[in-house]
This record gives sequence, C-alpha cells and structure tokens, in this order.
Amino acid sequence: MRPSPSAAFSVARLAFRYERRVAVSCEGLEIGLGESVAFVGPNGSGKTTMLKLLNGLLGPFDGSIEFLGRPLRGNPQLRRRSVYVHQHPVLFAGTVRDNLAYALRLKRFGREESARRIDEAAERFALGGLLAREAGRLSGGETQRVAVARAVAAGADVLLLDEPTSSMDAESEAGVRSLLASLKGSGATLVFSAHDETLVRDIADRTIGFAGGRALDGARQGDYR
Amino acid sequence: MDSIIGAFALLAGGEREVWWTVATSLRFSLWSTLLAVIPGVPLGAALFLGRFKGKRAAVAMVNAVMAVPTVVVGLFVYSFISRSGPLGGLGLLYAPGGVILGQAALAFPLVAAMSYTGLQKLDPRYNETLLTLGAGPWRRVLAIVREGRYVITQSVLAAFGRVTGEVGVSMMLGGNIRWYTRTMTTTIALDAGKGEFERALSLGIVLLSVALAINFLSHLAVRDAA
Repeated sequence: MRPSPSAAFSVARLAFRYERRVAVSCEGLEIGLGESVAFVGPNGSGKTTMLKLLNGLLGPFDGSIEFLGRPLRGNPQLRRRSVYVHQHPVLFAGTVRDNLAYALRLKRFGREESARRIDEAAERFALGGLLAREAGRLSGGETQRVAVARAVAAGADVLLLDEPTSSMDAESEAGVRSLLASLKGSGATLVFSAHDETLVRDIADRTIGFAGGRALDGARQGDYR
Repeated sequence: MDSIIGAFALLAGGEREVWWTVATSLRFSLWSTLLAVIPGVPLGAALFLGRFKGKRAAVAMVNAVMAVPTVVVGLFVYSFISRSGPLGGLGLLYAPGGVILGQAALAFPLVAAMSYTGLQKLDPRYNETLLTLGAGPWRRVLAIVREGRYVITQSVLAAFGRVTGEVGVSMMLGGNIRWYTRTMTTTIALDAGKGEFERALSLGIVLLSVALAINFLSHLAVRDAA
C-alpha cells in the first residue's frame, strides 16, 4: 500500500509483540491529515497499544508505521506535530502555567513566544482561571483540558487521545466533547479510543474496530463487538 | 560490660584518635559516594528510560556486579593503581585517594541498580508524557531524577552505608596506615585482633549509629515519597 501524500499515519503489515505474543497487528491502515478517527472495541483489544505505537512510544515492531510519509524512527515531525494524551493525563508538579511553559521549553520556544502561546491557549481552552492553580488539584475534565492545551500550545496538530472522556461527570464530558469538536473544526487530526458512542458519533469521521489485538480497518459494528 | 562502659567513656572523653578515625571514615565515604553517584544515578535512569536490545542483560550485569565481594573489588582497583598498573603514576595506592576510588567502585553498581529498581516504581505515564512532548534523552533523565528524587536519595544513603561499613577495600587499598588511611572498620579489625576491645567497641557504636541514622533518613525519604 503506497501512502497518500496527505496521510498523517500509514501502517502496513504491523505486528507488535509483548512477551513473545502478538499484542497488536494491523495489515494496513491510513489516517489522513485533518481526519478524526475513533478506535473502538472492547477493553484489552489493542486500542491504547495502537495509539502508543502510532506515537512511537512502543517498539520495536515488525512492519512499518509512517508519519507524514516518513518512518517514525528519526522522524523530526513526529515529536513536533504529534502528541499522545493518556486516559488519565500526567501533569507535572507546579501550576498549570508551569506545565504549559515546560512543554514550550521542550520545543525550544523563546520566552516571548512562550508567553504569547500560553495566553493564546488560555483563551482558546478557557484556562484563564486555572493558570495559577496547582496542576495536582484539578478535576479530571480540567486535567484533560490542560493536557490537550499543553500539546496544542507546543505546536501539535495531530492528537492521539486515549479515552478522553472516561470516568468523567456529565459536565466535564460535555466540556471535553466540545473541546474536541473545536479542535476538529480547526483542522486538527484526531485519533482517539472511545467507548462513548455519543463522542464517536459527534467527533469521528470514521471508526476502526479492534478485536483481540487486530485492527479491522473499515470494520462494520458487528466485526468487533 | 566494662568494655562497653569504657567504649562510651572513650567517645565521651573525645579521644583524639578515635574521633579522627570517625571523621576520616565519613570523609572517605562522602567523597566515594559522591564519585559513585555522578555516573551511577544517570546510569540507573538511563537503564530505566532506555529501550534497547540487551537491556535485561545490562540490568542483570549491574545487579551481578553489586554482589561482588569487597576484596574482589579491592583487588580489581589494586591492579589499576598499583605501581605497575595504568594509574600507578598517580600514587593512589595506600593513600586516601585509593580508598576513595575503591569505595566508589564498590558503591557505583549499588547506586545504579538501586536507582533503576526504585525508578521502576514511578508511574510509567510520566516517562511517556515527557517522550511524547519531545523531551530529549538528557531532559528526560533530569526530569526522571527529579521525580524520583526520594528513591534516588535511598540509593545514595544505601551506598553511603555500604562504603562506611566495608573493610576489604579500605584494608587492601589504604593499608590501614595510622593518621592517614585508617578507617573505622579497619581500626576495629586491628584493635579486636590486638585485644583492645574498648576502642574497637567505641568505633562499633559509632558505626551502628551511622547505620541507624541512614535507616532513619531512608525511612523519611520513603515517607516523603508516599
């Protein structure tokens, strides 16, 4: 399968082994830039592992994964443009502002540019009241919002999100859903795993089913249930 | 009983040679621990963060080196710093520098292995978050060391305890020279052999106090981590 020039991710004949057992396999998968794709399937079916593989957090593996037309290994675009956000994201010690500033420092943004980006993120993600708050004292929804804001402020436009609305109250869930909708509207590429059917219906352009560690591109609902 | 009372009297009376030996031991231990920490902590963090073939073998090797008897470590360092060895010209043998180097060689694998084991208790999401945000290897090592400072403190304390209590390296590389390289453990070995139990016991009491203090500090580190 030849990757399309507008593909964010191209996966071919992938097999990732964990303790000698194939944990995730995928014959072929392509995710376009600007596309919103939901990974669906039961717990333990390989959705999280696949998201981590796409972000180069797991390896080695057989087959190939390309990001923007180049293999993950040694691809400078991967860390510049793509960020994986955990189901329960980790925020570093310090305030919300410290967290945004740290991510911007990692990307070598200067002080003035960082301050501008933090202000922009605060406005876009409604973080104004949270910037001075200790990161460890935020609710689940706020933490998710800050983690996404941190990634976007640092320049990521390809977001890999693991169960972004899990274990949240209805209000937080609605907040994250509207955040994802706004990111989608701005042209970001979203790849996320979800059990929440409303989220999948509202945000995803298409779904990819997972069953027993196999990714079934173009799967029908019945293929992975 | 008389020996114990005599030992306490020696300590309370501020017997010069006893306290000089205590100070020298602690000075050697401090320097050797510092020398071991500089490469040991980054190695432990690198083993924790690294994803490479042969990682298990590397970890097993560090663990195995940790179990090498002190006299063997002493012998190994001796071959380097003896007159005919590659570092013979530095004049480290039977000098404080030799003891410090030998003790550092003893403590280095302990610091690396304990740091690695301790860091494994950290939340794996922490490293993944650093990686996905684009932190380079050194940034990640620094951030992981900062996050795991309590477990690393424990490994440093354990290394300090190990070198303070060892006798093989100090005896072999320091030569137990009075007012020069004599440490608490080598003095205890010598005095016990000569039948001078009071002085041996007085140093034993100090060694025991150091061990208890290290345990206490280590306990504090664990409590703070929790």
